[in-house]
Amino acid sequence: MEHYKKHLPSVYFILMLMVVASYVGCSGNVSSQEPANFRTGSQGLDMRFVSGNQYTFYEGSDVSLLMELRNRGTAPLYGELFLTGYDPNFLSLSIFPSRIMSIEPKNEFDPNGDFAQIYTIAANGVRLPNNREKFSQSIQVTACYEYETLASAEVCVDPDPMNRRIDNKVCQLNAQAPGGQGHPVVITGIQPFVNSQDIRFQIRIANSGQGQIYDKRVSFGQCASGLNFDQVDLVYVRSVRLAGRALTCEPLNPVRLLNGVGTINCICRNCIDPMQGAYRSLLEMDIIYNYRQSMTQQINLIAN
Amino acid sequence: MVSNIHKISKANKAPKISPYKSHTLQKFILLIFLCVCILIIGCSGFSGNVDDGKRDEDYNRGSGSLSISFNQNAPPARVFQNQRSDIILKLQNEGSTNIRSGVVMVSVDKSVIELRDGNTQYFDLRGKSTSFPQGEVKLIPFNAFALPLNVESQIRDTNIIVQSCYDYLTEVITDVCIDMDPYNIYPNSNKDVCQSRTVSPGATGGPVKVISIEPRYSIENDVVQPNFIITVSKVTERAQTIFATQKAHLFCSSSRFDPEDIDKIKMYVELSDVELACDRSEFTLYQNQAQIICSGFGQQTFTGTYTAPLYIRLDYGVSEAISKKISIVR
Repeated sequence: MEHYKKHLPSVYFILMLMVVASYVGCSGNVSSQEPANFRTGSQGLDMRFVSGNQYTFYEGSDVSLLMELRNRGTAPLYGELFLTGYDPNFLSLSIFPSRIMSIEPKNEFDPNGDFAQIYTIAANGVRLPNNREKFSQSIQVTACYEYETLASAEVCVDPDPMNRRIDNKVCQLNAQAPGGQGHPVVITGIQPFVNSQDIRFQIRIANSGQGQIYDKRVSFGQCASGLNFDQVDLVYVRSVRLAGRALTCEPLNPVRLLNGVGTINCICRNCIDPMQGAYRSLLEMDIIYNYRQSMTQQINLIAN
Repeated sequence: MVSNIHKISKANKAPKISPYKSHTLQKFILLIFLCVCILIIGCSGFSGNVDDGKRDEDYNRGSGSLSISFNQNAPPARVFQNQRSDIILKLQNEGSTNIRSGVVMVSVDKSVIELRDGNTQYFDLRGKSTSFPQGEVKLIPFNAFALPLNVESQIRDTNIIVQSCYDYLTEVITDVCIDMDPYNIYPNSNKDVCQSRTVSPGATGGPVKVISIEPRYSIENDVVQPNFIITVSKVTERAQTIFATQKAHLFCSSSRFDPEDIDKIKMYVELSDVELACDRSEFTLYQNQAQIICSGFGQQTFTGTYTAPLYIRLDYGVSEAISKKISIVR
């Protein structure tokens, strides 16, 4: 009996540990089970140089810079990379690979789009100009890529917007601004208009990214060498659907943005049933375009 | 009583430290001293010995060239007749250009002063660089002798005039922005790299400086050609005469000098290590200034800008005179 009494505190301690462990184990992390909302932001491609790169090179040495590309948007990304901004008489730079091969978009398992692809910028044997012991050059990396805005918004379909009938409506016919849902071309406003049979949506779109929208018909090579004024700020509305039903939109493709902002009008004919009460529905928009963005890094060349 | 005092004094004495303990204490003090030394050295970083990153081209600044002066008391303000009195000139190269075969000529009134080893000497002086941050200094002596005065003179004032002549050059080493879409024909031309605008290199070494480099572009058949209007000016702070290069030995002599060689400068321009064609390779300053147009090589248009190295070299001769008044007394 004395022997058991002697070990009683140790038994209590082990029991307490087991209780704590079972509590922690059972409570789990409930919040992590909830799906993360990754359809946010107005970024597409995120380009940056890898931290730890050296930007000073001795004459005759080889340049090697690593850069990482991430897809911070929600659409798959394809495109090409081009290098400019330096004097080709002293630097002969190349990027490998030059083609952007499908970078995974954000998804529920990678809600921040942290998956990165690594690209290498290299040059053999840099040369200094005559009479110079140091020389700075800029490397401008330009990415030209295809992108897609797949946005959705819950809209109120109210056949009686003037409240001629006494009804308890579940929603009101209001304008809304869905904002960034993971792409640089953002739906900034949806204004619904209803008549006896049709519902019309005035959809405002804007370029909220850091780059330039350009025509899908322009090749990547031409994007790097120079775009004309009639080739920029053009998007294609692939589809606008209300509860899966295709809407007719104007203007016809391509839609031009002015100062980075554009408006399309989409109508759903005979979508209104006057006998029905107000209900919420899903408006889905699919817009495709090409996008160009750049990043600049200075490097220093010094004599041995 | 005496024995008691002896006992008390013994008792008051500090306890004796054993030789072993004393050795350990010495080691401990030495260790602390070493630690302090390491800390001081680590924090100071031996800043005096570290390369400050300056390169030779960093000395290519300022408007200095050759500084010439009489050495202290050589010659003295008063000298006796029939006395040797050396003229010692102090020459310092305050610019970055090396001076080769410079000429220094002393002119005196031959009736009162005789220059026994001639009145002309040649010199070389290295310019400022990382190895000579102050520029090279040389003393050049002239063996002068005060001749006897006329019987009716007690004192005679005279001027010693020293003239230096040497070839010098101004080098402008700068970057210019080449804009392949200068009239913004293409939207969103990538112009984050640089802006094409007039460059003012400022002090570029030497008494002749480049005050502005203005880019101008011409486009023909989608080929962009950068041109530069280069304005050259003479620094007027010092009374220096500019003349054609390789004429120093003529300018500092009694030979006849062609007046057309005054203010004449030779120019050489490179863009990205390729020589540019200028409207004149030699020009004459008019009212201390001149403008030259140099044309670059054409390139196919594309959007974007880049920084290119521009090198301008101006070759010319410089002459400057100083004087000192001395009195010869009987």
